Amino acid sequence: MIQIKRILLVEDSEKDIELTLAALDEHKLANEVDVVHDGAEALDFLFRRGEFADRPKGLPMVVLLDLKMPKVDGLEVLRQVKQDPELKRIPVVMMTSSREEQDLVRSYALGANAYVVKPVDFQQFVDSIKQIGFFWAIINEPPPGCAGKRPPGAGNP
Amino acid sequence: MKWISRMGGGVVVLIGMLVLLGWLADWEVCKRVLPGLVAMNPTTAACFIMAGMSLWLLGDGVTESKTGTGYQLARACATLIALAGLVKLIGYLMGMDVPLDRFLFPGKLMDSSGELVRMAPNSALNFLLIGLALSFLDVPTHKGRYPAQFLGLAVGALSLLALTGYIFGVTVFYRFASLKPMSLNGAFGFFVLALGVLGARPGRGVTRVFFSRTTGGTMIRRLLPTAMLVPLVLGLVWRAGERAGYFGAGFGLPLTVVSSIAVFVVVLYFNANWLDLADGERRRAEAALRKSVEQVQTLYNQAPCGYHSLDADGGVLAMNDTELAWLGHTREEMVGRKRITDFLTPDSRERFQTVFPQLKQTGEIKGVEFEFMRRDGSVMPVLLNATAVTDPASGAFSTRASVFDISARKRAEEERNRFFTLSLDLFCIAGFDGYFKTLNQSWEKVLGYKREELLATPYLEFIHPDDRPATSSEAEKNSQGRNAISFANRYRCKDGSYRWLLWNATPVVELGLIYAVARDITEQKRVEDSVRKLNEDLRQRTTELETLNKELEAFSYSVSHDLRAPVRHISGFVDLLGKQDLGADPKTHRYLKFIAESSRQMGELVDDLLSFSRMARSEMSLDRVPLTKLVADVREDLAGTCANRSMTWRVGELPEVKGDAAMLRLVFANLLANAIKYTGKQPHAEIEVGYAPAADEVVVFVRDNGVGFDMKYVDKLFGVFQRLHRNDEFEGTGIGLANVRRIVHRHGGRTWAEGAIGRGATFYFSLPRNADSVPATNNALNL
Repeated sequence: MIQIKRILLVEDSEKDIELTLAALDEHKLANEVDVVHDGAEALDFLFRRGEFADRPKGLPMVVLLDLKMPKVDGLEVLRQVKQDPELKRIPVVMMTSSREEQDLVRSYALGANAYVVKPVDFQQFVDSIKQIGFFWAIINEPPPGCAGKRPPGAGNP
Repeated sequence: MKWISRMGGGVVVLIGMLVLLGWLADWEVCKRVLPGLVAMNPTTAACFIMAGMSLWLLGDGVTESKTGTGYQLARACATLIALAGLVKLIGYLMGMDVPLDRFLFPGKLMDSSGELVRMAPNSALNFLLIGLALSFLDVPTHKGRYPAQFLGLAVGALSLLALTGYIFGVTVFYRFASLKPMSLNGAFGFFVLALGVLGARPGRGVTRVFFSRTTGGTMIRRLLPTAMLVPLVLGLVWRAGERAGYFGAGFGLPLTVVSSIAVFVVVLYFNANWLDLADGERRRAEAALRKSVEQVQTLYNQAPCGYHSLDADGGVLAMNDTELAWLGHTREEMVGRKRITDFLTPDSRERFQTVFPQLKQTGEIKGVEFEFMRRDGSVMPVLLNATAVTDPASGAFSTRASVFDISARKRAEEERNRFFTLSLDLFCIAGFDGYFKTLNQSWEKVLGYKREELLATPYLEFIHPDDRPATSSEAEKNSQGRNAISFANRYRCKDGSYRWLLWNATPVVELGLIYAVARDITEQKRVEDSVRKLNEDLRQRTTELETLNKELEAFSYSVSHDLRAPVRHISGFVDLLGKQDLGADPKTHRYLKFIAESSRQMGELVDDLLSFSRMARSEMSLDRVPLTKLVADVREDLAGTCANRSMTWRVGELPEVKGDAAMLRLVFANLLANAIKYTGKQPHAEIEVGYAPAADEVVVFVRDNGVGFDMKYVDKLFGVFQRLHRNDEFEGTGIGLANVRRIVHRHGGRTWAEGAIGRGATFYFSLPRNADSVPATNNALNL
């Protein structure tokens, strides 16, 4: 049985996905990432429905959620996740280009666990992603039912 | 005292009638009073009746007119008596028997003693005298004496002699030379007639004093009866005593004398005493009268108003001190020498010529205004009331006038009128009847009408038809005694245009008048309207600008936001590319480096732009901010950038201000970072932070000894992305000072700078001291 990955990355931009994965790779976390491309997919994934109805059970240790996405945006995803008694336990890190205060406020109001503005400078971006991945996927003790803590690189093929 | 003559006349007529009745009915008592005495001749009795009638008639006031039939009758009777007496007397003197007294009752004239009852000679004399007296009662001599009175006195003396003779039994007193004697009732009748003649004209001649109200009159009225009665009574007593044999002859006279002396002394003493008292009283009364006269005189002279009296020609008869002082003349110069018209101005003189005849005609004038010309040439307005009197005795005409100084009132009126005339505002007095009563000149100037036109038309007709109901209701309010304050309406001008008038009005209900002041506020209204319109325009434009500005903000935000992602991607993939094997061509690496640098720089620009835009949009949270601590915190944050630098900080004590702490922190962060940055090339940096308190603001400055700047470009300093240095000299995006300016502006302050190339720079910003002036929701107008 295929195990669920530790990190769920919700991001519509292919470039950002690649950059994020490149950054996470620096911590050897690239393989611990499930990627979905918009909010609708993300919800399907998390609620195990649609094309993800057959995905392995379990929950990611952390969701990296982009704010601006087509169809269902990040805030809506966040809202639905945080309303679900099961899913609300998953830490959600908002990843966004926006420093808009309103976005920040609304995110926290909906129960976001962290809010990260993607730095323009790549090295800073890499550092941010590394730290996020390191903290949430490695150091943080996840709630029961999540993908489970593994030593870095343990799941590498 | 005329009653004496009237009554005397009546008594005498009665005596004559009784005597005639006695002859007719043979009643002796009526003819002779006492038995044994001689009877009165009937002709004598008839003469008495005529004399009595004459006296009675002359004693009547009517006869004093000397023309009435009564008077003529009285004189005719008197003449008849005198003639009768004269004829009889002549008869006696000639020794002839004049049968005048034998016409009546000729058969009865024989007395019981055998003698005929005739008219006695002394009676005849008395009739002559009394007849003359009554005839010439009102005829004076050229010396003003009245002989009638002396005649009366003579009759009185003769009759008194006869009466005394009867009383003391001295026959010779009433019977001369053994001729026929005068009867007792005849003697009494003559005595009464004598009194009557003397009393008929009491105010003149010898009797004047007797009837006078003076002390002398009283004296004679009191003493005369005593003087006449006392000797008579004492004489009677003496005689009675002698007859009864109480004392012998020779004793009675001294007794009578002593008694007389005693009685007279007593009577005189009491009279003198009474006189003394009366005199004292009179003196006191005189003194009191004099005092009261003096008081009245003082009042007259010192009254606060003038008094004068004029004769029929306007000549001054009297004038009080007050008025004399006004005119500047003494009484001697004035009274009897001047006319009142000498002191009147020409106008007043003219008025006097019309008013004085009125005064003569109606006897009174009131409230006439004159102008006195005083001795020093000044003019004094007065108000005059006067009455005219004509003395009933002399027929002399005079006036009595009271004169009031009204110069103060006139001056006040003139002052009021001066303001009334001078005022730019419109003054009016209007009646409750809807007409103007008084208007000042401003009305003519403002509305263009002649005053007469305004006075002749109900004022409502000048008012704009739309304003009439409101004006009427204001006037109604006035007529109920309420004021109208700041009421505005439109008045039609002569040229047909309308002017706005602003009114204050106060009524006097008793007079039925409204006192009102109006101000022409047409221009003010026009200015107000245009200001209002300008304000509206401004508001509209502000709204438009705000909208535009918001759109711009939103645009720049979304642009910078959307720019961020591609910039990040370039930066990211260049970096990743750099990790690929790209060969050894140094150009490739240099180009990659440039791309990386540019993208990083673009990223910074976008971030700065975002922060700048956010600065405009974010809400301000005002608080007390201690600037000293704020600066210390910022310095701590910047400590890293100062490492390995030789620097001197001079940070003075800074005030506490009201503002947004985070924003003000950013201000200092930018200014101090700049100072640190631009002193970077100095061997020793000096940075000073201080403030200067001004009247209504706090001015904070940050001074450095860095590279400075050219004042030519000072207005570019605070612009967005404006830089005075190349990036390779000093790094930066040029957003810092723009943010400083935006924050300070949002706090209601100002920013400015001074500097010179190579000589450092000073950046100032001010914050209003009054926290209220900090605009709470000031947004992006300060781009």
